Amino acid sequence: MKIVIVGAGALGGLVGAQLAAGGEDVTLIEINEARTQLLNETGLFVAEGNKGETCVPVKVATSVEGLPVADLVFVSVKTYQTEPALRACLPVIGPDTFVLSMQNGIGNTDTMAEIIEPRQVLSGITYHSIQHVGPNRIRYRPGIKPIQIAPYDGKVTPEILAVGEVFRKAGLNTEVAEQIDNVIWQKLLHNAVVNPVSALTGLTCRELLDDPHLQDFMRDLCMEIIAVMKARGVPIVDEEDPYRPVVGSQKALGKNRPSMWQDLARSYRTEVDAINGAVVREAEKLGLDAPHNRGLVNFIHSRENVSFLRKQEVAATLRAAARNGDENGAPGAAPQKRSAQALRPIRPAPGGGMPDSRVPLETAPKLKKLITGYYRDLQEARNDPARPVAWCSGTGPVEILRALGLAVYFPENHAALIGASRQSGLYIPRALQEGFSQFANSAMASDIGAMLEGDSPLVSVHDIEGPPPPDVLAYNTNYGNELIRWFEYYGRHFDKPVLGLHPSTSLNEVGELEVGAATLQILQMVENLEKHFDRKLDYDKLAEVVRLSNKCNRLWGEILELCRQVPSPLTFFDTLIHLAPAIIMRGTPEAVEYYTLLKAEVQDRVANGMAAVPGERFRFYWEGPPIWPALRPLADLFLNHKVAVVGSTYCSIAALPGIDPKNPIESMAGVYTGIFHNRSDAWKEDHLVTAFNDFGVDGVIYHEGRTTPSQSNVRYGLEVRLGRRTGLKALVLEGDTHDLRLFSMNQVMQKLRDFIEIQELAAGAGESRAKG
Amino acid sequence: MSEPKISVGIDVGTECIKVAVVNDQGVLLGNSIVARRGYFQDRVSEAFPIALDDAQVSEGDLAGICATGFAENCVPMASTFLGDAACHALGAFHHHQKAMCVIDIGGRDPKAIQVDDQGRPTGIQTLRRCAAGIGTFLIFAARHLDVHPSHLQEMAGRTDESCEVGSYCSMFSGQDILEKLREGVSRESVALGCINSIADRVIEIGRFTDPVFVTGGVAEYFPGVLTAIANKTGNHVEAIPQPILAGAVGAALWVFQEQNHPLSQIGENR
Repeated sequence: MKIVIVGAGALGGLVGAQLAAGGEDVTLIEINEARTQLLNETGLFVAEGNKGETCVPVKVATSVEGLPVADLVFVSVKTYQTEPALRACLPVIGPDTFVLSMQNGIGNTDTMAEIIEPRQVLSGITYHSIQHVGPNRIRYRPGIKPIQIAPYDGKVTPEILAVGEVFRKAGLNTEVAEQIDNVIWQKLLHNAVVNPVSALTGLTCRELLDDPHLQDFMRDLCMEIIAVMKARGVPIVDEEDPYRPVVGSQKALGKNRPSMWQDLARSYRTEVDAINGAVVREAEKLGLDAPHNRGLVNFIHSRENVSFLRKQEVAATLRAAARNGDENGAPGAAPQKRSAQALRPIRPAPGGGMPDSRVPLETAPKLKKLITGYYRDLQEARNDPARPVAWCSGTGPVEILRALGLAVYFPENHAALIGASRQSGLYIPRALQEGFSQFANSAMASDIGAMLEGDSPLVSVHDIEGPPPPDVLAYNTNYGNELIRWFEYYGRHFDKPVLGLHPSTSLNEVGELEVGAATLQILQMVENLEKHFDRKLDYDKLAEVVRLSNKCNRLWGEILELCRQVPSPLTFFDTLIHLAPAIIMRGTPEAVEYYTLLKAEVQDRVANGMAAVPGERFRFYWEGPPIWPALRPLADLFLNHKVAVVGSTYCSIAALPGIDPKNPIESMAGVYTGIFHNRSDAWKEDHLVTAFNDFGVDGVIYHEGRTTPSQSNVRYGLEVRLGRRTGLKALVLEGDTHDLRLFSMNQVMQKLRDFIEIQELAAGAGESRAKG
Repeated sequence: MSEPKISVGIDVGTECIKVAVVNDQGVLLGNSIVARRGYFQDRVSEAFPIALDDAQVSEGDLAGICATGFAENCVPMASTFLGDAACHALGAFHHHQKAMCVIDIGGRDPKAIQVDDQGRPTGIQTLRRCAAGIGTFLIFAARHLDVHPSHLQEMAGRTDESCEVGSYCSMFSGQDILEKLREGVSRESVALGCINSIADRVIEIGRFTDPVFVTGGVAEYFPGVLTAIANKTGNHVEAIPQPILAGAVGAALWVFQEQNHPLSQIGENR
């Protein structure tokens, strides 16, 4: 049977997967492109309860275009989408096609019968409890009663019986009945009583049962609906106490939360109009009043307004930005013509590259687009003499540079790309020929070596000619003094001015004196830049850039904070990937939009209890810089041992709170002077103790990078002092950010494994572990 | 037929392949130790039947085989795996059922593992340096001194006069040995210097809490290292019986332990 499933959500996904696994010709329609692509690539993972997952290959399309006429169209969109979804499917609905709705609430089939012949409309009901546990994963509990299908016009035909047979053949316990209106009302009764109350209070069904106040309210609510049902002639299951069956179903659902709660948590519109709203409308028709239901509809709409509308606003901004991007030729522009100076691509060596998340983020494809857009814009700037290019350090004065209209490029990001591609070994020896020691900063050596060899990962990853040569270079030593030599080298090489900020270091407090000195330095830098480019800094523009920068930093901080949840929705390795915009696009609207979306998705994960490390058993903190060439093996090791690295110093650098558009220069001076790496050991210790506590970690991994003394706080006994203060188990890894020749990767992996295993054994077999 | 009550642990170290056959009472029924040369897997295939033969059991009698050590992946017959730190802890506790500090000194880097009075490892410390090369260094020192590694200890035992051999880097220490020989220092004195140099590397791990029990090949073949550690730290330092087999015995014991408490369940449902 040719079946089209409209809406690959929880219900559509499950039914579609079952029917496909049963051998039917099934196509799922899903409007989210990223999800469509993911499902086509990975299939849909389906698990019944806690049993193992089965991966079902599914065919998913974003529209019905090109599909033949179907025998059955299964509508599993949200109730408020029924009409547009059905209209979009008309090309595959022929005179003999059945259209089946198993959606929540009532009124769906009425809507459908207005668009197509009533004899083609089937209504259905299911008692499955289905939850999304990932963009390509669903978990369900089969219904206590069979699925029921009935014709809208009450006339059962052999063709309709055949539909029931197809469902049964696919393992879905299904009955065909003459009419199921009464049954649908029974389910509506349950949904109308439980869904809105759980959604508004955030309580699970079991918690609702334990709350006498809510039970009181829910009983009244139930009786209001019973009155409507009686007036409509629907038989009441338990005449003596009509609320009793609703209590029974709450018990059966236990820790589950209804779909309306899921919708609100994910900032989606709810189906309250088809549930409680339907009760209100039905009551009005019958001359009754339903004040409880009307009240709940209003409460739920109010909550929807708060979150859902904001999300729509962001999506609209993003779409607008994408359109502008297309007009400007980026992203999605045709590949640039290579000039004579174009560099050769660097492709990752085996085992290199960024790790894949076991649970992919839907936002991830947007990241690639965003970063490519950023680099293509740099290429444009390179080709445009009116747009000078500034090279800037990661925690450097980017806001000033942007406000002056400069295109800003970050050598540290470039070096990280080389490191992650596991190709630093090709370039460091070239830099050593320039007289650098093998213990000179290896990020710098990789970056300079690649430049001297004429290679760049930007060529293969973002299809541009390579880094745009600088017109000026600006750094801040807050992240380490190594940057001075790195930037000065390029200053000499390109014969361009190098401007530096050198804030006081090792600070306990960032006081007036330090802020004053840093402010003067920034003002001096502004003056030099103004002179060099013969243009004035527009302070209104600076305020706008600072406002965007602050928003970006704050969002990033909030995303990192979500990792305090158990289980953690992201790991260190995920945040490393998603950190890039906060560094290289700080101060642009695109970065703000991106993190708004990412935060919404991560919140969604938290709301659904989705773990970045499925079955998370231990939570670690990563102090020190990343080991770029080893991200993949490290991520795999942690994942296999069910360890979530939930927090890191490195990724929290960009969560810089407090840059203020009303006082941009002075607030920047204070914030950039006060970053973690520029603090005293005592401050760092206090900060880390708080972080360990907030993230609820069981252990700490300290990475000592052999060539990054400023970022390796463990060099002077930090782990021993913190061990005494917190009692947390710690492991020191001797490694490096880029240079694999300076340490033994085998030794690092072995040490990590021993450390994790000992924690596992120490945790005690079979004993439950207290958190913290 | 009753369930098989015999298990095997195979510890594939950088210098030796150790196999232990134990029963569920923890009694060592048989073992084999084969020096590593060439491919690890070839030596595993050599050592495994020797140990079975020593214990008078056949492969069909086994409840399971646990592999550990540097090249645990070269044990195709393994039914399970556990890291060598955990195995040494289990192996040491098996001999002395009390809270202790286990120091494993093998071919590569030494480690200290704290074990509680229930036999559970509770913490681990390792050396921070890149290439400690403990046992391997002594083998390589023996070559410089023109003795078989198993006679290095005996040679060192003939003198009380130790010369200074650095402990920072095995390459630098090798250079030190050659310099002493160039100066005509007695081989005995250089041998003792090497033993002390190893002790210096081990005590860099940190402070140990008594009692300290040492496992690994170095404790087996170079017991002078233990004396030197005891002298330098004031700790009570003792080797467990057959210290070189500790990892293999621990691995074999893990086969039984894992049946009751697999690692995959630990910490779940917290």
